[in-house]
Amino acid sequence: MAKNQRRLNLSQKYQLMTRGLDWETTYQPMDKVFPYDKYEGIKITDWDKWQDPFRLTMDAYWKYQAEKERKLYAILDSVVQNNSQQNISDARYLNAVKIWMQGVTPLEYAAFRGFNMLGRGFRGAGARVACQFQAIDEMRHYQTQVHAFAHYNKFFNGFNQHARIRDRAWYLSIPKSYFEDAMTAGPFEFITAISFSFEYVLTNLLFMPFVSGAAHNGDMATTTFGFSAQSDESRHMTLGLEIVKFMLEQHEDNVPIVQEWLDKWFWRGYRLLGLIGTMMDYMLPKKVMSWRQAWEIYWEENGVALFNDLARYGIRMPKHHETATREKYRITHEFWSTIYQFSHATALYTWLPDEEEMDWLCAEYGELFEKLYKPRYEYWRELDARGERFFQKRLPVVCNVCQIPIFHTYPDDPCKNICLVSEYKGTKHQMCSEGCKDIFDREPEKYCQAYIPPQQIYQGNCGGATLEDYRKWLHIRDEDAGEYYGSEDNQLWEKWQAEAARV
Amino acid sequence: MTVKFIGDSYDFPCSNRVENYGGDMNLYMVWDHHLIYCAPNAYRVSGDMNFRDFLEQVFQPDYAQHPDVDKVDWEKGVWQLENQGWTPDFSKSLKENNIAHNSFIRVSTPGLEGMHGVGN
Ligand SMILES: [Fe+2]
Ligand SMILES: [Fe+2]
Ligand SMILES: [Zn+2]
Repeated sequence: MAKNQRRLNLSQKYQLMTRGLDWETTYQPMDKVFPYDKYEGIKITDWDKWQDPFRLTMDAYWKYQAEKERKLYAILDSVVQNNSQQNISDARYLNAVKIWMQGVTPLEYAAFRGFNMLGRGFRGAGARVACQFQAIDEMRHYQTQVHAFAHYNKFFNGFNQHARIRDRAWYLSIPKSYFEDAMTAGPFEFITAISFSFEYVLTNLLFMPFVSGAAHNGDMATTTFGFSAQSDESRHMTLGLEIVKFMLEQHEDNVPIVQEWLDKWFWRGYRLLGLIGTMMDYMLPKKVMSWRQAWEIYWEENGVALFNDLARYGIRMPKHHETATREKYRITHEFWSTIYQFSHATALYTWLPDEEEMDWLCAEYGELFEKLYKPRYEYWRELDARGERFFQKRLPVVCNVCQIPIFHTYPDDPCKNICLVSEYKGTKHQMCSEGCKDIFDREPEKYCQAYIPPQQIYQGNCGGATLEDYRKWLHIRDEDAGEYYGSEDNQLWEKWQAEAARV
Repeated sequence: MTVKFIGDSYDFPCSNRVENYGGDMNLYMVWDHHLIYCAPNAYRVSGDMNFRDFLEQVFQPDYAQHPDVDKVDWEKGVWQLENQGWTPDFSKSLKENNIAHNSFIRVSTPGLEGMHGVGN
């Protein structure tokens, strides 16, 4: 190598990688080389206006990530050596980890797939490079989570079939369908859905409760991968905001298209996060904050401020945000009631809140909780005491868009189930809300194809008509499911507590 | 509005079309204000089934753990089909009552509005 060769600085390297590597094709027209980035109607006049505030280069990326991996795996090793599974607050906590492992970890993998497609799909090289880095990040998140949770799998139930039940289980079709909806859209809608709505607008409602919940409840393994992923996430959030601003600045015709996507993905994201809110309110033995409070801070303050910022581009608040805010007093209780009565068909345990937790819920949720949900739980406790633990044996109607059982109630009447109908091609489809119905009615050709678990069970495609057959088809064992108290996890935990007391 | 797509057409059948039910149909029904049962129920039934039989032998037993279940008189119910007012004929079949594939039936029973009358 020549001694006087000039070394490139980082910004020159970035410039070469994201601009210098790109060219106008001549053997084939550009529209054939990049067939996916125009059909959604988004108009880009100058891809060079793309700004990536991180300007990552390959060598910088490998260096940062390798450093993080070294630290992460050192801690995971010590988790194993120190039997840290015994330091968690209570074995009920692990059901929060199971929800994450079963429902969210596969989304990391789905994100890896989606961003790989984008890393090929955009004709601007700067955007392609950012998406390729994110694809690698997401694969890393998937792997580190599986590695971290593998330790719990040695002791506790519900961790051993995450890949299979992700594809089959009714309650996991909620997160699964969210990403598949995005992946079957075009690249601009995907990045709006995932990078902006999910990672930028709603991430604090997802990551914060889980990672700080883990820290609060003595779960070193989860806390560590959470922090390790956090610096990646801040890059992903920035990408989300940049892409939305980029689309809005490139052409005024993009504004109504982006607005429709924001409407749709706000509502889909909100519906999905109900599951995480339920985890916060019910599955963390040591609470971080309630869903209501998190919604007020992260949406009503921060989210609304963000949308106010976007107003200068002609963007308004997402449709149905008022309904989401109105539901903050009920959504997690309705969701927990549902998981509680269907937990015999999940790889999760459920339970009724104890007295102290009931007081906390009353304090956080006030009058409606005391009037409606508390007496419900008290009645179920009565049934339990009589040896008649409450399980629902009949399949429920499920929303054709968000794929959640329609436990939802009318915005102005929390005592009455809502169930809306749209007819398409002579077939009726049921939805949980005006938000989901709008999404269906906008693209009925797409949502009429949805794979809705109870419908598939009744059509005979899921191993049989009985719950036992269905559970076998899911590869969920008896001992993975149902009531927490008396479960194998519960018994093991009690045994550890008794041993610790003797020492 | 309609979906945007690449290529000449975008045309797929509904995954829950009646043809997939081997002569039966799919049906949804809820007893309002009995929210300990969280959601409307789903049924695979024959359209030729008698409506009273469906109610008493299939639907009602699903609410077995609710204290209202023994007090209910369906004849006094207030009925809706697809969220519209509707008067069923108990002696006729589901089909003859205009109940179709994927129909949604709602019944409320004034005076029986769940435990403590609050919708549970
Ligand atoms: Fe991730
Ligand atoms: Fe991410
Ligand atoms: Zn929905």
